[in-house]
Amino acid sequence: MTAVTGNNAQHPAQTESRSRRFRLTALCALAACVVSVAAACLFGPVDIPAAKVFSLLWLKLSGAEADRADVAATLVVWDIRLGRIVLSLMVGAALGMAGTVFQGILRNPLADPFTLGVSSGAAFGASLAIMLGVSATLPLLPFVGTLPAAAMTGALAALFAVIMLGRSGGRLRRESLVLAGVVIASFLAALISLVKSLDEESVASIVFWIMGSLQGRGWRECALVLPWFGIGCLLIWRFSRELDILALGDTQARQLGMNADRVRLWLLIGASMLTGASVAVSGVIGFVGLVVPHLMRMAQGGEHRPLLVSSALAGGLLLLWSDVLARTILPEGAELPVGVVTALLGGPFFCLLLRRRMREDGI
Amino acid sequence: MINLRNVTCGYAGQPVLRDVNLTVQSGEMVGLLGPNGSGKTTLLLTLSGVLPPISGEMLLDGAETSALSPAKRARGIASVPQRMGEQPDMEAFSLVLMGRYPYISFLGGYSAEDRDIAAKAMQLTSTAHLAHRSALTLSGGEFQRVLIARALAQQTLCLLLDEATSGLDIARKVEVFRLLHARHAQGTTVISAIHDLNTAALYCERLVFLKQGRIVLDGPVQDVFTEQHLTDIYETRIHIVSHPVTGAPQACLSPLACMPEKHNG
Repeated sequence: MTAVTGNNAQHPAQTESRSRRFRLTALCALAACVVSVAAACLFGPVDIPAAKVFSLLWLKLSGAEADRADVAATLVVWDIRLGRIVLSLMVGAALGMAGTVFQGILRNPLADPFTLGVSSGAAFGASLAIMLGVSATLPLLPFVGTLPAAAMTGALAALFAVIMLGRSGGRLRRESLVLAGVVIASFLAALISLVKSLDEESVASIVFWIMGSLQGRGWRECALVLPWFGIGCLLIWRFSRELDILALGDTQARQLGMNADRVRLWLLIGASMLTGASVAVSGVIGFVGLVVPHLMRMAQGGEHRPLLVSSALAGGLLLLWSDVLARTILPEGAELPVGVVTALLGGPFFCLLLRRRMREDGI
Repeated sequence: MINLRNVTCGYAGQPVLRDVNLTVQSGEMVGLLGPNGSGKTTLLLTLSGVLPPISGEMLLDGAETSALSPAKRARGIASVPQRMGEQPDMEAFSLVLMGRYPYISFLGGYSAEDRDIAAKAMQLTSTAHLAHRSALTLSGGEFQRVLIARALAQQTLCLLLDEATSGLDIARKVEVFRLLHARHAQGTTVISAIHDLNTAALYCERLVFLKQGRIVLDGPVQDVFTEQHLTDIYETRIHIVSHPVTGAPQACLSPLACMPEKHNG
């Protein structure tokens, strides 16, 4: 009984340091993002001196007219590099957040944004578009292009199918969701193979697209992602508190007065918007949505609000620098798919951490 | 007041409890007893509104519970679950604060008042010093008390506990039951599944015995806590002695005879 009162004194200090530490980490990560965005503009096949890059960025940001002589350099730095960098940051953040949500609602640390077949749906939509020819633009969305639109449609259709299949008796159980996701994903994988075998000419571009790349993407794609990104983030943030309660299981969630099925559906929609938009513009970039939330959870525990913030920032940073690597590592302007880079970086790192953790746990 | 009328309930259409009729008046302290698998947890899940009855009706203060919104229900009934598979990696205080979830508005968060109530609930369960520890690092008993604090933070007129003290040592167990008794004295209805017969007899006024999915015995402790009844229900010879201080009946096992005599002869 006496032990109870023993360490009462230390808790106010602990709280403060904990929330302050989180705020500090978040601020540092945010600063790192800003610095990274600027720094990443330095890399590229065209050789532009650092001072010039920064002065061009500054000119553009302050709204001043660029020098006529610098039109080409402005095009490279602002339109080609910065657009792509901002996109990589957004896609990385979206995947990091979506991964956090999927791991939370499925209560499975091995879930990622693609567990429920959203990526397969997008890949199938894209494959179909590639087979039928990508040159056409849509009448309603002339600036978007067929490929992202087809991928987004495929992603949402797959999600819809998974939800319909996973519903039983008006309830949305995580077990049936995962099962439905696996079924839909393998069915769509078969359809993709069918498309590939029907049209051998398009195999290379389908494979390249599925591996995930940001090559040639820029502000246009940013504009495509932004609305989905915004709505998805708002939805997820609105239900982030509920995510903590869902982590305790349905029974307790409902005893605490939460409509678990409805909350899960909203979170699913929010996370799928983020995933669908990411996949639509950049293909299937693996590992970000799996590794980043996992690492952040190891570092700071399972509370979802801080987890979402740090996963978004860390995911954005990871993809940004992976993309820099992807576009600079090969000579003469050749590019690796960024999905390959993230998997190459993330895989071994993840294994290392897992091994260390297993040793710490004494398993 | 809670009313169950001809309730049959179970999982996936398979009934576990059949034709249960039970009325619990406001402010009663009821112990729910019975052998393993007799349906105590199922009954508590039904009472908490999580497991809708297959047939029959359940009323909370005269209103059909299934018609209440989840939040409204959670403002009337709080539950302490039996045990959780894995303790979450969240601060104990955040867990207790979840007890305020049924009170927050659609876009609002937890208010300063909510935090005060949660902190007070932690003091009542002597878990205040654990507030900023991750629940993952708590012992089973500490975690159980945190969950009790969460139920208290819900500020309901009815508390349901499913073997809430099963992981606690004797001193903690007594502490929790004193707390429940104090709540009961202030008018809270307490319905608790209890494995330990003697604790139930010490703290409850009324005992409800379940066996094989039916209520087999229901009444004041002095009337139902008898050698014959207990021996029949648990199919083990049980002796009753008087508590040296309160005079409450207490059950004793006898080491040799393990089956009731009537079955032998």
